[in-house]
Order: sequence, then structure tokens, then C-alpha cells
Amino acid sequence: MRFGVMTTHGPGGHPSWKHAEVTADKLVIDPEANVPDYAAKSEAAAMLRRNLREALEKHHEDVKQHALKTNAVEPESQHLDEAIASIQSFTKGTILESHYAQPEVVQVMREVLACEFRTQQYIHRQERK
Amino acid sequence: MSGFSTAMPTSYKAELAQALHNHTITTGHDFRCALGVASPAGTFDATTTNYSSLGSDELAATGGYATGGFDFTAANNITPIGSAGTAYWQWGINPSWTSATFSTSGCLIYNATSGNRAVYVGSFGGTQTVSAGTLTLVMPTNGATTSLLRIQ
Repeated sequence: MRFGVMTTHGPGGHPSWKHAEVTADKLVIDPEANVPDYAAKSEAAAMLRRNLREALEKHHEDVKQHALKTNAVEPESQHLDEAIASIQSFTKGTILESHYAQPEVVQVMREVLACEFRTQQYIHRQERK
Repeated sequence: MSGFSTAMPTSYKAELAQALHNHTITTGHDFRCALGVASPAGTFDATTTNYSSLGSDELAATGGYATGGFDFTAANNITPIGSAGTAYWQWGINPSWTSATFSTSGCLIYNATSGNRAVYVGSFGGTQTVSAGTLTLVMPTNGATTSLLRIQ
């Protein structure tokens, strides 16, 4: 598997919306073509990805503001919990609700969010030097 | 043909069975990610065995890049796990460079604790350029079909 590459010209790190796009793309995986209800799941996944790109911008901005005030290395549990709740709120009443409620999926979401928040904090720590 | 081709070095696969790499979180080895120049003279692929192979094809230590590259630290190792016949692992942070001005076309991840042995060669699919800004290599989702490092 390859790395993706994110670049931003000029100071200040990446804008929060760019981090949000990366995070949303990692959190929403398109269904396999042979799964039951493929069309409905595919449509729900596309809508969820769009919604998460918007919703996660606020969470990444919170992480950025926190990082600018502190030298914290590890993401705050509060930021992770709030982002997970936000993600689950967008799946409520959709065909994806049960999937995103599964404990193992919640664990993967937490790992993805932690990786992205940790990266953002690292970037802003470097920017402060 | 010179350049970077995404691959898990063959030497790394053999070294895993010799216990020369430890990816355990916190207590494992220290891995680093070095960036290559936009147009390398050498060829970097599954035959690459060591960071020393990169030589003058590593970015120069200017423009926000320090020789040796990004230090993941053992704290950001993700301990390997297995699922449905596949073992997989990677790191819990995306390598990033700030105040960066350079062009790069690939990377080499290596084990700084264990003789700088090569772990992963990555192509960026073309030249990536950043100007007085930030460049981040985005890890895929850690999973049996998506992780950076997988053995089936």
C-alpha cells in the first residue's frame, strides 16, 4: 500500500479542512461490489464521506487550537470521544448505523482519529519552534 | 530504470524471521523515514537492503529537511496483529516536514535501531513539491488489506 501525500505551501501547517478530508477518506471505505445492498451502502458511504469532511473540520480545528496552546504529544481523549460521537450521529438512521456502532469499528475509528490528531499536533509543535 | 518503486524489501522479509526488527509499540525499535530527491540516480525497490543505499539520492539537509528523515520513535510503532491469514502493521503518525522547501519522489523507511536495515520503499507516483510549507505522507488505514506493511 502506498502513502498519500498532502502538501500545503506557506506557513501555518495544513488547514483543518485538509486534515478533515484525509480523515474522512480513511474512515469511510466503499463497500465491495458483491455485498448485499451494494447500491444503498455505496450511496450511504458517499453521503457519509461528504458529511464527515464538513463535520470533522470543526474537530480538527479544536485539535489545532489545543496544539497551538500546548506542546501535547498525544491526542486528548475528549477530542477523540467528541469526533467519534459526531461520526456516529451522521450514521444514525442509515444503513451504516449498525456498522459504525460495532466495538471493533469504534476502535479502528479511534486509531484513525488518533493518528491524524497526533500528526496535526506534531506539525503545530514544529511550527512553534 | 532509476527511481522509487513501492515495495517491501526482500531482505526485510528474511530479517523478520531472524528477529532483526521489532515493531512493538514503545518497547520496539526506532524506525525512520528518509526522503529521496526528485530524480534519483539509483534504483530503489524490493532489492533495496539498507538506508546507506540511498546515499546522495537522499534530500540535502536544507529547506526543512534533516538528514536521516522523520523519526517515528518507538512510541508510534503499531504492534503487528493478524486477521484472516494476514499480519499487518505500520505507524500511528504521518511523517511530516514543516518550513519545507523541496521536491521529492519517494521515501525509504529503515530501522535505525537495527543497522539501518530497509523496511519499506515508497514511490509517490511522481514528483511532490512543497514551498515554505508542510509536506505530510499520509498513512493508509491500518488493516489487513490496507496497511503499509502486510504479510499474507
